[in-house]
Amino acid sequence: MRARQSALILVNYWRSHLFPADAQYIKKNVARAEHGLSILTPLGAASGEAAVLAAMSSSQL
Amino acid sequence: MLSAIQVRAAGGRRHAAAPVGPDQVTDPAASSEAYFRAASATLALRAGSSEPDMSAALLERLYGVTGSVATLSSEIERTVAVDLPDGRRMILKTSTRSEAVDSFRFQAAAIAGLRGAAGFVAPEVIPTSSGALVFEHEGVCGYLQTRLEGIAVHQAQLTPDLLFRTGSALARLDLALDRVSPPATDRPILWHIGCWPRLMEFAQYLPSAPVAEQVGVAMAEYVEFVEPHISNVAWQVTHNDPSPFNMMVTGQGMGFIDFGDGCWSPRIQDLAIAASHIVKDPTLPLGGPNNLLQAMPLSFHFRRWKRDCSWD
Repeated sequence: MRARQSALILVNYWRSHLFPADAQYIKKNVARAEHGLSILTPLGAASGEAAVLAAMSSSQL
Repeated sequence: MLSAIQVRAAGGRRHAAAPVGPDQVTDPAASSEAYFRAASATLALRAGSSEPDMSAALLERLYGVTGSVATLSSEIERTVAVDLPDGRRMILKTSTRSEAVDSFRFQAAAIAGLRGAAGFVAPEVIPTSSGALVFEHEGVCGYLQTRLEGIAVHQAQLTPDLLFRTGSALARLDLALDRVSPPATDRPILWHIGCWPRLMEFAQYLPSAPVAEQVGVAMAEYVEFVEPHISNVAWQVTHNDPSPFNMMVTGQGMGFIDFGDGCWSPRIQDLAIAASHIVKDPTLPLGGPNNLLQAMPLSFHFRRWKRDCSWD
């Protein structure tokens, strides 16, 4: 999840640099990704994995 | 046995690549420098929306219909909303770029392959008067699809129930996509997971700390801890962009639009992407997507999952 948030941030900042006139549309998901990344970063890889596994292991299906 | 396929590179050259299909676990070609360069080149071109809009003429010539058209926001292709006199509402996607042919062939075939699937809503592809899913006409390619009516998830209140229904619908979408075999799953897509480690070359465009630092740490940890294991999970055709703009709350259930980034990916990719967009509240576990994650059994993502399995 953190890597995908980071991929979104990287690609869209690059494309906004290429097409500044379209930056608002290109970056429509960036603020959300930056906020999400700031929330998940303190978890680290191990505790993040544990939290995801805990959520999916409690599947209601 | 699938025949060898090739990846289209930036300059029009073709590079040999491994076959991609039901017997393929991963897509090693998508991790190559050539693939990354081709995928980057595709997104480095300006969208063709400044070109004359031929939508109305194409609709009449190729589909035998007339109606009002309105251009929608789109990064790559031209996307127009079409309102027909009989009340039907459509989306027409067109492009004059050569690489769009493969993208449209993939999108149209993937969407058509979802017809009749249960548990989610997807557009339907409208064939041309001659029965083709995708047209190429006087330098323009494209396809026509129905338009889903509803509100995008980014406009909805993210209740636990909505998140669970979204995750459940996403699971059923992936089950259905696992059974389709669209063409051009190997076309260069910068959002392909194989490109991620190379994306750090764009770090020069990031704002200063903390964003740049957090991105650097996340990508380094991905390369060290996650990427070495992605061959252990199930791979299939995925949507690859279930963002809150591409997931819809409709009267018929949760819907999915915009299959333009779809490709051969880890099955867990769609869930991870959707979850990554829902991390909003630091007081909640993982920031909020737990109800989404709970909608998919963990076993669903591993290679031992049988295609004919269902948890209904």
